Amino acid sequence: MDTYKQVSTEPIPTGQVNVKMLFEIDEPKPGAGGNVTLWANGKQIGEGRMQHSIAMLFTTYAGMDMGRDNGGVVDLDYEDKAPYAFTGKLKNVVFDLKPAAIEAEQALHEHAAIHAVAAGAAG
Amino acid sequence: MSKENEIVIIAAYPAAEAAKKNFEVLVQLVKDKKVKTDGMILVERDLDGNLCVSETGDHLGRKGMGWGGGVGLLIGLFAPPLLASVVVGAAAGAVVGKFAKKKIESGIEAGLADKLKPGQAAILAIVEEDDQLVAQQAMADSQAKSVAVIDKKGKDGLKDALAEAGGKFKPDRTVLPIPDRKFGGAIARTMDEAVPDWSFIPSPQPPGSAPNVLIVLIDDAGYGGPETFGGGIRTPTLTRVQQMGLTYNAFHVTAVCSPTRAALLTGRNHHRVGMGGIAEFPGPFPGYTGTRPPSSTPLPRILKENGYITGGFGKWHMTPGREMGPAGPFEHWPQAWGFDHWWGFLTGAAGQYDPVITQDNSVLGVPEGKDGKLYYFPDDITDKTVEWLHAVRAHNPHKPWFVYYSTGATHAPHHVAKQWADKYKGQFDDGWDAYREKTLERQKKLGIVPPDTQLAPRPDPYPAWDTLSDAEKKLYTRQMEVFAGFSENADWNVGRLLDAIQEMGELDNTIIVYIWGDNGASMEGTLTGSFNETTFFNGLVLNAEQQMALIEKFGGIEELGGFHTAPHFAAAWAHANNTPFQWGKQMASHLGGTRDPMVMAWPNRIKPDAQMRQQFTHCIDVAPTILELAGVPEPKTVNGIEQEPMDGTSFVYTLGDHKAAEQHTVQYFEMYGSRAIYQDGWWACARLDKLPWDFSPATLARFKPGSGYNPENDPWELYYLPDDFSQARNLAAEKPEKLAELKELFWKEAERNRALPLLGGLAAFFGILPPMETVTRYSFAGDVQNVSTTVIPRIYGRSYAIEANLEVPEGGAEGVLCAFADFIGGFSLWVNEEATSSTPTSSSAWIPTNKSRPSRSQPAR
Repeated sequence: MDTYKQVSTEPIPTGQVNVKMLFEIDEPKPGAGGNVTLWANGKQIGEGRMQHSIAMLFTTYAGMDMGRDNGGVVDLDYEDKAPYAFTGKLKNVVFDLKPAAIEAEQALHEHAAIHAVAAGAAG
Repeated sequence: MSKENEIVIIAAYPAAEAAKKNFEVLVQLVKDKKVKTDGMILVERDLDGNLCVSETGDHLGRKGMGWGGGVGLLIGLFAPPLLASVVVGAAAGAVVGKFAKKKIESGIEAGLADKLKPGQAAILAIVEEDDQLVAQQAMADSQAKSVAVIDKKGKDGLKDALAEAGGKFKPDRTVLPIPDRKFGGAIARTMDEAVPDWSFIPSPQPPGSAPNVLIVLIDDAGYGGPETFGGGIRTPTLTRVQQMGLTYNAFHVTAVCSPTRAALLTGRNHHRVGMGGIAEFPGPFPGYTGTRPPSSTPLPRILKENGYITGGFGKWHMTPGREMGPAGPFEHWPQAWGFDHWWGFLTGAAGQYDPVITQDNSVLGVPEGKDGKLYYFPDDITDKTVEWLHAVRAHNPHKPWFVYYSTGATHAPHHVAKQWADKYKGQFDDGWDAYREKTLERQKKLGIVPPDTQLAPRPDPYPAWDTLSDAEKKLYTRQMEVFAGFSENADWNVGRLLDAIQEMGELDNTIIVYIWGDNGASMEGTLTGSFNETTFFNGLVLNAEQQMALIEKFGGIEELGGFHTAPHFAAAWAHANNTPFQWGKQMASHLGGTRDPMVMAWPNRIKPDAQMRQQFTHCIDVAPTILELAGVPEPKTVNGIEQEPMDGTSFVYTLGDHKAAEQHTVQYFEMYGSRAIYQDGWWACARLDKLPWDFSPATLARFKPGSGYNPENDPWELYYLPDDFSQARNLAAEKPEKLAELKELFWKEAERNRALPLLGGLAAFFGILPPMETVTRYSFAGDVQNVSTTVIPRIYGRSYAIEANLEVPEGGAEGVLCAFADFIGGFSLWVNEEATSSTPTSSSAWIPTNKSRPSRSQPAR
């Protein structure tokens, strides 16, 4: 029931830009907090602390969109502009997951599998 | 019958006169030796309705032309009783004349016999293949022809060929798809000589007077909800169908969504079609794959192959999570279940204001509201169904349709406009205990339950209403108002559909099966319910005071049900919605989860009757019932795959007789370890010792292999339903022998239906995990939208980066780069201009912002 928002300290450049949000978790455990850094073309432009992360699931039905936010928006601050399509050109979005140690990976896998079934039971 | 390359021709005529004329021409051709025949007969249905062999060509003389045996065989195969007195072979020709003008008693090849109306006739002829063209030219006035090659010698060859040729007139519907009709004319070099045949063009035709079929299925709703069954929610449409037809007060479901849907549409028990759990998450045993085997062809496919047009609308929930996108496979999407057209959502639930819509085998995305209004799925499902029906009729005035109308309501989130919830303002102020009592009284008055029915006890975890705080009462009351408004709206939208069907003039010839709930009302809202259901998905418990405070941010409690909330109600309300029973959704052990209201109508055939149908019925019975009423047999093979027979029992026997002896006498139930067995009024059951919404690893660890859990030690209950409608009097201690017998029967049925091993669908809790995903880098092109929630990269509990590669024009840009879900729970990476003032160097500033909604530091559950 918290909203965590990290805003950069400076604007992003024009032209070809790579922006990145990096979340570094304190320990590879569901719900754990961590540090957030924002980057543009390799330069750090913001940082902060996210005290908790979502343990298991954000939604049972809504989808993920690139370059826009279909349906209910994530942040009500831009709801009046929904779906708030990006006005520049978005080439792609890359999720890069950092592998954890094998035991931690297995524990996360088990956690995900269990909670999938549990959430699914509410079908 | 010894020549090579003979064929059977069947040529049907709308008027016997024309047939006789053609037959004479044919006879002349034989005389002139232009056609070599092994037999030909003219069959006629006279004006009294009798089927006769009116010509045999006997007067030609048989010798040298091989008449006798063929004619004898033809007649004999069509009328075995006559043949009994005939020696086929050399002597047959001598006796064949006896049959001319004789009435054929029975056994005539069914397809042709059914096809011929009084005054109509058909020629059946065996000719050499080389003479086909000439023979067919002689039968020029025939309106429907069929030809089959005799590829085996002797009587069997003829029999097979006759069956094949006759199949065109009455196809064998137990083998699907019905083969394309064969060309019954004859090909020549020119149109002058060629013999045409229109009758081979049509696709499968439905049986004679096949009716339309409408199945309405409401989601997550209980026995004591709708006023039609004594509840507190206004359901005029459910009552309308009831008054057009019949009421079933002992209709059963499996206790969970996907399993009920699979059972309903396949006519098989849920484990037998892999649906021992829900579709998204399979377990590693046959009853729990989440995928229907091809040996269980569902009702829509059967009807489609028999000439129906089939449409599905609303909630699906029978597609594995990993398959819910453009990559398919589509074998578990609605079209592969036989829906010619599908429109709705695939997941188990959806926001009613912003569902991700799929149509046929495509993802359409999130619809926009029209005319500045908020989009609302429950309205659109009716609009889409009606539009489709209109389009179907525009293109085909006859074809019967099958519609599966499966609402997202009343599953959480309970989304409905305020004015619908406000209709119930103040009506639930006296709480769930009073609701149960008042509902039971009304149920007795309506005759839904016997007058001596007791309220089943309120399970301990639910608080008594009068022990609640004011804040709790205020919140919970509004939860029920919202739920009631949401439910009434769903029924109202079913009403709009019925109005449209009536306007089309087709209501009288439509079988309507209206089922109020695929399981009992859902207790998954936990004890408190929530204005944001993702809180309890993540293990976050918010008491009423906390919720009241938090909801202020979204417009206050009056906005519950609105766009900015995702409500579920307190479990005790679900329990009250399942009056007079115990428990609810997920609990296959008790009637709260397994019994729901059902009404059925078909004005053309079923006489409305207020007498309650009390026979045990189950969702697996619906498909066999509809097949029987439509005159369509259950297929034996489909696409060459042998079919497992349906488990259900048609309840056509109850339609005209409310006292008819019950025919569905044994039924097992099992969901997540809770289980029951019904036999001849007796109900034995055991509940897995946990709360329905509790799936914590700690709780499940109690049932782990090696934990010492032994299902034999679960406490069983025993009820005798004819004397105890609500399961209020446990007879387990009084009748141990009966209980032991039923427990044994449960194991037997569970095994037979592939429900074993018990808890097979919960394997993940016991360390039996699906293969681990190893991909760590996911790239999404910039135009990708509506990626299913079931395949989002697994960011939970780990470090990760989300990168976006952009081109930002001079002058700047803003907008979302990547967003998952919504303010109820989700994350987004976007750039905006908000901070312009803080960056005075530029008039256009773009601030990457990351946001997510964490819950708490502890792992959920």
